[in-house]
Amino acid sequence: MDGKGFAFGQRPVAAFLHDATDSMLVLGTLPPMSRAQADQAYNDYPAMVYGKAVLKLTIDVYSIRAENWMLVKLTIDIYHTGEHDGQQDGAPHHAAANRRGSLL
Amino acid sequence: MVNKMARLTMQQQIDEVAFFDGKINIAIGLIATLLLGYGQTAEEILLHSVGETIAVHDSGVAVWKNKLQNSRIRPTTVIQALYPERRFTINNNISLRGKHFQALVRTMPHSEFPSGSSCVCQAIDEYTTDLWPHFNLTSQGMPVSFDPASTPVILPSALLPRIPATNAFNPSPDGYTAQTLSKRCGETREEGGMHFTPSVPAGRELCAGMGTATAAVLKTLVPGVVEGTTTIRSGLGSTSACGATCCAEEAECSADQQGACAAECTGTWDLPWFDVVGARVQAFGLPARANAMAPPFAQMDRQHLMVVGTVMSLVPDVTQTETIYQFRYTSTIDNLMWNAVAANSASLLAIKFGQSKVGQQPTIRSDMITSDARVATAVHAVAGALTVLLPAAKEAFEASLAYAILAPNIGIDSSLSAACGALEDSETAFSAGCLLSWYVQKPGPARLGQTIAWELMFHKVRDGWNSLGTDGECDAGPHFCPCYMDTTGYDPESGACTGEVLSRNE
Repeated sequence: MDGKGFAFGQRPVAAFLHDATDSMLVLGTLPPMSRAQADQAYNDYPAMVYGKAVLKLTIDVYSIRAENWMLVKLTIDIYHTGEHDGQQDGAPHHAAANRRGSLL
Repeated sequence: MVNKMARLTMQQQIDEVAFFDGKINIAIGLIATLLLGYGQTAEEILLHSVGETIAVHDSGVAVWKNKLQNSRIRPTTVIQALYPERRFTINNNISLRGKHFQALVRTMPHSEFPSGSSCVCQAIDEYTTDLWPHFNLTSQGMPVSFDPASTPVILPSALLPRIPATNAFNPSPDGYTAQTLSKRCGETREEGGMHFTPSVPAGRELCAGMGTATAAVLKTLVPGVVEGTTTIRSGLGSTSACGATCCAEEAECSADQQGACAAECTGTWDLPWFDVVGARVQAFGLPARANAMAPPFAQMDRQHLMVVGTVMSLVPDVTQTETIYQFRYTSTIDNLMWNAVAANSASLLAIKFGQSKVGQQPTIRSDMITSDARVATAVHAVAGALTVLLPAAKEAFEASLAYAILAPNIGIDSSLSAACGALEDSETAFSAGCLLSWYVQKPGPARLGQTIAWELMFHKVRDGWNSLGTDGECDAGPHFCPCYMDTTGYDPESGACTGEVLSRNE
């Protein structure tokens, strides 16, 4: 971490600032620390790596007139925006979703 | 985050991430713009710089405290741990497995949340927005009305291709305004893979108002500015260097002519004469004296060269340290130099760290008000503080123009320590009267600078940073008691992160 000492014995840089007080500041005062808190949403690392989770439902209807049948293809996909099969995209798109399994 | 990283496909984008990774690039970029872009005097630059580095220091301490409380891991660790075999496409269309992922620049050895960069750049935005309208900015002789949304605070790359001293590429063809600087400074942390998205706005939120507060105090250092009865330029009252126009032409003077110029500037408070055109050529690596006579270099006088040369000689060693220590070094160096300006004035106020958070009367006023006296005192003050503040930079400082011209005493003069005590000795008490008594025995910029160094460093070594390594009764020498060693027993696993679950949860 700081290039000194045994790797597992290293300490955070300037850890003493955990106890920082106004007296350590030259002219200012410390803001309320509650202004910035990493809440539970911060534990959703997949979303932070890829983007927000998205549930996508696609229904495609095919009618076969000769047999008077109707085929319904239902696609359900859950993924994070910006990631499909290990590739990132700017936005989810229909074709990519359809490539994943379907119900027939 | 990965998606934003993948959008970086051009070298200019990569350069921008690297540029904002070094906060000294921003500080020097601002100084260079004031000097080369807007024709500011040495004192105007020092006033700006002391406030800028204090705004960064104070917001930096605030965000560091918050980082240590949140204790969050970096994207590099997350991706390597959670997605070791998954392929990612990152900058420059590079495809790699998660276990091989690295951020675009070094991964900093401190907590990920919140972003320190977005915090300190928010402070810089506020500070420049509030202070710079009070400067008499001019460009090619024409006044410039400051607008935080449109006025460059860092010049376009065509005018400032590289940042002096750090040699970093200036990545922006349009330059940066106060607002775009803050915006891109934060955004590039995510684009470079050093931060997750929530950290950037969180850093800005945490530090909102700190730059504004610094600017408010800075303006009071020049009496009359807040009241609107004077401008910063008038209040500072800068004066030309002794022999400013002597042999300051394209054609180099003979040795005799130069000797005559030097003879004009031998007073105690004079800045010794040197060939300003030759110094510009050397400082900027210009091909000929003719280039040094053309804009923007022509506006750089001997006082500029001394101030900038002093700062630049220290930058390489400052940049060898971790970011938060850079903030402490730069704000202290600027504080020393500003207090030297105030001490050589009739009414300017000093910044007395550890004693007050508003402008104070200097402990000693010299009764001199020339810019030469201010600059010479500033160099002596920095030299006096160097052995306690940044001993690693001693050699580089000794190679600087300022050292060659003034030959200041590096470290506190032994006679001052004998008279008022060793500043680092815990038994030593601060006595303004003692400093004054020592100064009046031989008034001049050397002794004035020494007293300024002694006073500021006396309080700096007692600021809770353990800068000497002797806190906690550590008395076994620097190997066992390194500077800035933590004595608080902070445990990064004891904070809010204890309940954190590092899981894919997909």
